[in-house]
Amino acid sequence: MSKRLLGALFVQIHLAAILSFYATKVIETTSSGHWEAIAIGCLLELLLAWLYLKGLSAFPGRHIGEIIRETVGAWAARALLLPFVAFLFFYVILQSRYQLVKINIVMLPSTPLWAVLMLYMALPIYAAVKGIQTIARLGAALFLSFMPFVVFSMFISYSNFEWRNIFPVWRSDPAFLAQPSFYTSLFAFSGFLFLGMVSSRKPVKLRKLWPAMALVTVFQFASVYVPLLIFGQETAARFQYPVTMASDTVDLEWVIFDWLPTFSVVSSSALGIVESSVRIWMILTLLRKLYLPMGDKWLAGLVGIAMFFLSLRIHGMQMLDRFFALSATLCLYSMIVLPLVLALLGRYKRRSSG
Amino acid sequence: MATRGWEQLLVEKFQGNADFAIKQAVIAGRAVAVYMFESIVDLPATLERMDQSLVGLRPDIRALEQLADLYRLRADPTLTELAHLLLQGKLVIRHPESGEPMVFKAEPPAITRPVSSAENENRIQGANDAFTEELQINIGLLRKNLKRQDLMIVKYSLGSTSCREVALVYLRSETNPEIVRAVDDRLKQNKRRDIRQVDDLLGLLGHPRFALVATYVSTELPEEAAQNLLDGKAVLLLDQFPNALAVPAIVRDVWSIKTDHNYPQTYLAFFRFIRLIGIVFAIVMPGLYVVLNSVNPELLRIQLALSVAKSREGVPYPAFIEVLLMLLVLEMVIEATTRLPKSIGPTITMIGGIILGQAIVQAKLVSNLLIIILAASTIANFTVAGYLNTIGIRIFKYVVLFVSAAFGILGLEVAVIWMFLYFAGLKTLTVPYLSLSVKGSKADE
Amino acid sequence: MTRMTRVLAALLPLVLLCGCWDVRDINKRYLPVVMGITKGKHADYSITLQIPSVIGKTQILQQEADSISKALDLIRTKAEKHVDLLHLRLFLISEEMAKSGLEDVMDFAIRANDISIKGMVAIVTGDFDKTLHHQISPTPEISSYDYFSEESGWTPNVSIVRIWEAFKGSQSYTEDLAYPIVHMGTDTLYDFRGSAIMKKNKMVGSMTPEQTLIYNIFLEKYTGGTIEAAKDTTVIIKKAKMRHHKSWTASGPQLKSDVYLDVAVTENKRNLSNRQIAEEIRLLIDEKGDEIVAKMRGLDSDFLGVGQIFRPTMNERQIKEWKTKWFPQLKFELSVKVNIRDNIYFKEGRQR
Repeated sequence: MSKRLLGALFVQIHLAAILSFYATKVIETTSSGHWEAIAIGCLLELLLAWLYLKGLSAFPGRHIGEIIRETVGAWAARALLLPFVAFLFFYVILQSRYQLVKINIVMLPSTPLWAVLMLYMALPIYAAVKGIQTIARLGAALFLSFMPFVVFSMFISYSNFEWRNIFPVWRSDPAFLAQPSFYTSLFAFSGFLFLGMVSSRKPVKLRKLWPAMALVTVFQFASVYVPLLIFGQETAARFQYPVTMASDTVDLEWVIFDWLPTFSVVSSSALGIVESSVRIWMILTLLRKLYLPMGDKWLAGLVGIAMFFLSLRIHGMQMLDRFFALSATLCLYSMIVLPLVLALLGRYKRRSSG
Repeated sequence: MATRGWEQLLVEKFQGNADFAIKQAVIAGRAVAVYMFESIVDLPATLERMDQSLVGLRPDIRALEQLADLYRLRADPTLTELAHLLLQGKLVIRHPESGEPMVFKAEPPAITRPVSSAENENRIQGANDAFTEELQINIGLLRKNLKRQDLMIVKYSLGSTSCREVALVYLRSETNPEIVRAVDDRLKQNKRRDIRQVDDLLGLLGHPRFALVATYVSTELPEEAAQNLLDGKAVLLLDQFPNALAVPAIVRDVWSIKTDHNYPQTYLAFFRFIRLIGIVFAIVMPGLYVVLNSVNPELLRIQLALSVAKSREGVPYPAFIEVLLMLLVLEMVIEATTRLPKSIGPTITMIGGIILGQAIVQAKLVSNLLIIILAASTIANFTVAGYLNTIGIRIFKYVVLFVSAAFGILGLEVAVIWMFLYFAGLKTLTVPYLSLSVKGSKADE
Repeated sequence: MTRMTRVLAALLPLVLLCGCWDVRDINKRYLPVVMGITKGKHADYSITLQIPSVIGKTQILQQEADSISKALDLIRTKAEKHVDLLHLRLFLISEEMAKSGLEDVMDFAIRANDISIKGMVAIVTGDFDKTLHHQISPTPEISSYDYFSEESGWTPNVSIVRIWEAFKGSQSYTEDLAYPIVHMGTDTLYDFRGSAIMKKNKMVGSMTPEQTLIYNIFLEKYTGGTIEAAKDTTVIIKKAKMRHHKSWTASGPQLKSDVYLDVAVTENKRNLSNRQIAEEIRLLIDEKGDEIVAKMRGLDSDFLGVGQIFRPTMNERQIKEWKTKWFPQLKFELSVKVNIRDNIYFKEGRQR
């Protein structure tokens, strides 16, 4: 996979999370100094991604499943990676569910959830079966065709920005670190983990990814600060979908279409499809390698059905939030332990090979 | 081969064919037996040409052999090969002494058409001569267009019951060697398969059978084919088929015509932009009409919503059915006009456009707006480069229509993503469809 | 069969079976643009929907119930077509309603998924039912919306408040709002009658149109309007700029605001010199400004958004306490600087 494809995919995976729940969680986390929460997340990801890629570079052409299996054995690999697979699994459910509610509210108020969910899940599973190369090309195509909508829906409301709402900027006590929603907001930073699965021959360099990372950071800040600047912290904190709401605040005659939140939802759900494809593909690859040696199509069918029904079991926003909080531990485990393990393995490998 | 055996076998094989002839002729001062199909060989002209090339030589057996060197195609052919060669319009002469068959190239009677200007592909700026049915002439046209040393031409004779000649043309320094190898392997492996239509050839090359998009570029212009070669594609020429097939097609071919390069860069960019917009319009418009009309009218500005509602007032069935009906009528108009004689074509246009269009609106069977939308989308459809691609888009528009009729704007989005996904998964001859260039391994849209 | 066709085959029955939950053709929907909300005679709310049609007539549906959504439900029951709120762009609220608080109206408007939060809010004074049923011919199809639309009928004297702004105003720690007040017009749909001053969700007072103009200047929303500076002299405001000097002393926040006005003289019958005109405008605006400040004080409503100006200097606790503790202590001065633009055709100050 070329660098550009990888970069585009990297951006999309992050953007999907940013546009769906990230802003809500960050605004929930703290009442001022939001940038501190964002910046901590960014730095954390930078550090972990560096460790992760460092470890990976010692094993060219392998993905993490193979690496861990070959160095510490099959059972250890299964144990180490089980939380990761579970995290991916729940993540896809949560993410698609989150998007679904938004779709349901903005675009299809009376269509039952299962029908929308079926449509929404079919594509990622189909894509996942076709493999990462296909997903990457799909990602590139969607990147070009949907990015304008993302940018458009995000910044369309600039005329309503009230810069004074930024204040107060500083916050000296890091009380938000104790908030559970801060840790759920870290979900949005777990995107780098997919780099360990693409198993490219040439090791991916962090340096090469910096344009993608910069873009992601810009959007991370924008997604939090656009609603903040428009509504002010007091009001934004009350909204479930602040970014979508923000795009509804303007009335532009020159846009042919009227209901602008649709753009926001359309673009974020398109990104959501790419993200889910990648994550389902990761699940399939790891499952096949470590747990269930089955045909791709069967495995995909099983995973798809499981996700479909689990996702329908979530009844409301509150339950969704609880779920988010629960899987935050899995997320933290995958984000912190995996890079550390890989870094150690990489070091060990380099030592032993001289 | 037995000395007289081959003659008898030939006669047995083609017995009952009125145009299979055995003639006695004098070549190089010797009487020889000549085997041929009269219908595809002009014997007097061939003999005359042979005589001309023998002027100044003593008429003896050496002269005949020299002649053979000049015109001989293959030494020591098998019987089936001999039969195929005869069917291809060659002359078979029995060697007066050894009795071996000698195959000579013959002058064809005037049953091929000369190189003329293109009928179906119009170019405003660009060379206008088109391929003909004759393979040899087509190859010549390509050679004339590309005066390069690395232009490679490989010929294959395919088929067991019938015989079809196929030429693979490529540029050694431009074409991706993997493509050439893939084509070459497949053609060699399937040597005995019969090729009647392009379809058979593509099946043989391992193209997907139910592809929504054309996985090859078909053109009747040598200039276009030459440009395709320069872009790294391989070109297949089929005998008795006046189009060159460039494989593999990539997404770029939907909006770029190679002769665009005869214009300044700005104009080229403009054309391609228009075509891209055209593609989007053609695919999305009918679906969008249904979306805006029946699922997500909130997307329309209120002023527009009111006038749309007014134009639909009195239409008895849902927007989806309305669009489907009109689209079917339109498809029929298109289908009817493509193969009609040029003198009747305008009648259909008039009936379809004026009478049907006017009446259907006045009868309140469909809304005005729909007619406008469909007309726009059909026009947009034909801005696409290459006739084959327009068909793919015509089909794809129905997928969009169906899904968006049920799921509104989300359905539209999902259908478009599915299309991208389908393209992303499509791979012909080792080249993914979603790549910008056939040459490298770069793959993005 | 290839995988693609299989997927297609799987998708097709899905599409066909799924029926169409959201499918309802546009000509089978009512698309109301204006919603009127007032106190009902027999129930808590009386909801009126104005539904425009292309022919130029407006259809009106009205229903009373104890909650807004119940009233809408009743309207839906009696309507011939499906009532779609997606295109609601204007909420007209009766003065009586506004005075008793708009909390539930705001809550409803934000909560309802099918109402766009960019719709505008205005308060109707006088006879509410008459205003809503008022029709003038020939009416452009959606004139009541056009009246507020910045692209068509809006003039700078009129304040615009959108639902999200209203909601924000009711939530914000540091600002209040002023809603426009309209009255049934004689030759047009509405007459503008100034602005309603809100405190949180309640209407506590009102401003005259002239005061609204100053209010708009203060919010830097004002350009292109005319003011009568003195008898026989009229100027048009080309540019208005504010500069705030804020300080926070032990006695509380202090704000000195300078208004810089760029004006052009449009009528000058008494042939005053530019300096005189400037002086008159200054006096006029000073006077109106004082009135507004007095209102702000008296009603204890921060509708000028002074809290927003102080936001950068406050910490979180102070922001939360702004309306209760600091705003009453605010010292506020408004001064005006007027610059008269050169006139193109007349030389300045030449007597005949």
